[in-house]
Amino acid sequence: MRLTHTKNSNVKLSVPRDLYEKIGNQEKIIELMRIGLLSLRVASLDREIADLVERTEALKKRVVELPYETEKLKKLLEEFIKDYKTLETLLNVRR
Amino acid sequence: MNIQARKVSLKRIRIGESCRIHELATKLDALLDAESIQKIVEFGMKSACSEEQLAQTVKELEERKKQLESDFQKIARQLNEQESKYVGLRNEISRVFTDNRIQVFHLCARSPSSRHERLLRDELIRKYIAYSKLM
Repeated sequence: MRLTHTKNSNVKLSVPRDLYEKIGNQEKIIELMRIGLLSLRVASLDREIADLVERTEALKKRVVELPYETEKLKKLLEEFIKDYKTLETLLNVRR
Repeated sequence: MNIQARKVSLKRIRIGESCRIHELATKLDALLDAESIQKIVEFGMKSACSEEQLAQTVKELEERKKQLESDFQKIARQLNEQESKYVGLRNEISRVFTDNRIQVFHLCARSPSSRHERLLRDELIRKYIAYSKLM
């Protein structure tokens, strides 16, 4: 059963009778469910945060690396443009 | 083994007023069948923290996650701008390289008129043949 599409006011849950009898009352079961779900939410958030931190670090690393790679490309482009001019000169001289 | 499959006797309880259960179950995409409820309750029994402490921790973690997501977006935008610049340059290099290679082919068809011209010509042919293998 998922509660996503249910109305809050009328929701009933089926609890194993032995669990119900062990705990003794409905309010305590609900409280323990809230604590259990909150604990699970903490664990889930911890994992999501760890994943986000890891992905953010990978992005930061790329942000640091990319300007160096861009600078290398700029130099290569300058070199190719220089060659282009040389080639033009050589071909014009020969025409 | 599934509790339902073992035909365990069930007791129905109303949780109408406990909105937090709905909210948390939705966020966790958690099932609330008898077996899952048993596990959740057992998990709750094992918890060393109170509901208030856990709620506070969840609040703090959600705020931290929100901040991290915001930071991630900022860095992603920055990286996107840098990558656009990088890709633009790479395309420009590819275009100039292709033009140069065509010019070198034209040059190959001609004889150099001086030693200097021959050296330049040979260097460019070597370079663009070598680069051709790489690009």
